[in-house]
Amino acid sequence: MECGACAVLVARPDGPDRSRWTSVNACLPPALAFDGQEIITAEGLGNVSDACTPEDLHPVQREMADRGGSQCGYCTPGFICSMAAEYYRPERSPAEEDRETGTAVVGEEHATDHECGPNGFDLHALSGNLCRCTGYRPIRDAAYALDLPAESDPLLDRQNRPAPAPRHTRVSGEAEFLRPQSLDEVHAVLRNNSDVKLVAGATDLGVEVNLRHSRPPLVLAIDRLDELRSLTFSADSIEIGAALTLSEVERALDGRIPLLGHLFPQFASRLIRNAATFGGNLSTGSPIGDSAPVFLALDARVVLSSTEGEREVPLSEYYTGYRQSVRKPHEMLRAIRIPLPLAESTAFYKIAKRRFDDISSVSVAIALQLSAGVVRSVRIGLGGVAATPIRALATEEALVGRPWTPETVAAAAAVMAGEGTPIDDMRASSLYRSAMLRQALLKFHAENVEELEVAQ
Amino acid sequence: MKSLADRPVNPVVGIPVSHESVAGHVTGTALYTDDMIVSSSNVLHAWPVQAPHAHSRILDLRTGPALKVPGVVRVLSASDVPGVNDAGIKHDEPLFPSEVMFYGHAVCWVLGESLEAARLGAEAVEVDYEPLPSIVTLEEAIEAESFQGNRPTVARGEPDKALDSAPHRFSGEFQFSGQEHFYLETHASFAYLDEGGQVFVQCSTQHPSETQEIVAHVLNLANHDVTV
Repeated sequence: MECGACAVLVARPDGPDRSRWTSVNACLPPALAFDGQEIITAEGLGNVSDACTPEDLHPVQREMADRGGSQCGYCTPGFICSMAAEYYRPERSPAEEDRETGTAVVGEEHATDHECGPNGFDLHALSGNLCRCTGYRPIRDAAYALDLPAESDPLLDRQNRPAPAPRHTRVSGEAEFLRPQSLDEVHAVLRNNSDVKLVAGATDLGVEVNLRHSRPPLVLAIDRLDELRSLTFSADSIEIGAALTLSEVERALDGRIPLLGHLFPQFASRLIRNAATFGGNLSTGSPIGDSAPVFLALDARVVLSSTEGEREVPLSEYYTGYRQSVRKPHEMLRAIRIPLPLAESTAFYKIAKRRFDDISSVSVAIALQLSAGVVRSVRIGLGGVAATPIRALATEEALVGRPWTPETVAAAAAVMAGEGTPIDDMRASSLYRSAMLRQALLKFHAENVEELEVAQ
Repeated sequence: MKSLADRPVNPVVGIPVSHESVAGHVTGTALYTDDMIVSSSNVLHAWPVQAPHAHSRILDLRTGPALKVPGVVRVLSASDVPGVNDAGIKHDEPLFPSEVMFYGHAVCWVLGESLEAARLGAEAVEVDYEPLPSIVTLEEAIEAESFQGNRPTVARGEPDKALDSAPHRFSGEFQFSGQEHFYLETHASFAYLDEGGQVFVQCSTQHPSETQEIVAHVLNLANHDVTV
């Protein structure tokens, strides 16, 4: 699933005045979600009517053709669109030092490694696109050979204007699709209907529909509601709107929450992050959703809104069982609030079968605050070891107030190995999960011990 | 004397040549099997009824309820086969089995005017199974001495003797999983009768000749009546 072969470019808002060609999987969202929007497919990039000469091809298409980037061709249109989105990314610029050597810059640790071409092309723009015959090298060659778009390029120019405004779409038949115009309208619909699916990126619902044949009777598209799309900084908290995509949050935060910075590159792929939202990831309540452990470690609170107003619930008290929460049927998750100040040392470890674009077997997020070599506070969020995402409370207790030494950590790691109730399944055995919990804490200590000595 | 490294005047080798279909690939205009559906009319879609057991006997198959689903046209089962009920080339894979041999084995296929109708029709088919013992791991198969196919042995010299005199001997077991080639194009076949009454099949397969043979023997046709 989600091979990326169907990727298309959508003109998404980039602030109030600009738009950004954003690649998304076309197989996941309902087609009606794009009512009135601008979409470009691989067919629309070049001069398809007579694509026999190289001049008729878009630069991305031409490089892929010239460098042997296709064999069976099935994945190629998706690669073309993901590559084109990166081609037009406003921040992409050739780095001087890389231009000298012309080689890829490979990061040191996989969590944050950044593989980037001499032309500033972030290779992870293609991480949601699978190829099973050509091999990725000629595709990478094509990506790294791309120049900057010509100034006269109409698609480059298109980004200087706002994205199309959302439409008040309402279509009903056997099932109903509605794009409400305001949060109040969403609240009213939730109040008056029992079976409503709220959809932003549809990265979860799309799978339910495609593979499990779920047919929700009423779908509400909330991905363009202004009330859900703000990122606000105050003195004591940062509030993330539920319908901002992960890519949007990543850009807007610009590293201000380092723990989320650890999460982004490990969360699915660029194609998914361009559509998926934190509101959706927390609302589906999967015990292996990647963001919940991180927000638990950040001591985040979720803001639930409804016709009755708003209430705030600590995420640590939000989940009540497998995909169950304290959210009432007529409530929705409007925002996530992260209290400030942030802990200074953080990490997110995602243990999965593949480095990227995979589902966690176990995930561990840690936020630690030391004071003079002693653990002043620590919060550890875990995924994949219980029916819900959980805090490793016993481990936290074994750490807090104690010196941040190998002895303390070894004892706490033994406690960590016993956290949750991990099961055996197709992703991992319970023994493996337990071993990874222990190892995660030891690793975190190893990564954060030098800083401590310097601080002393 | 001419060196081997010298290039001829009009070289053929060493010149970059693009994939012959690449323009279609990169512009998205290349057609794949399931693209045929949208450019054809009156296409019927097939959906399998899949067995929920690794091994079982089919006691009863009631297709009637599927026919009540709007858009369902027909349910194909063993009685519809005019030729040989076999979907393989070694005659060991019944197209419509009486004994389920693996989890997900298709026991019959529902034809509908839309994929959704066919799927709902397949959901409506009622099947009674008698679960049978199954062997699903290698260890179980070895224990039950349930071996498949040839058991080739490769030997050279006198291994037992060499091992006996070896200064160090190690033994152990390891396991690794198999991996099917995970091609991205999904399995799809598109079939119609052409103007000469012959069967034309467009299929996402790397084995067109085997597909031709199978279609012919299932339909009791000569191979030349089937084009894949």
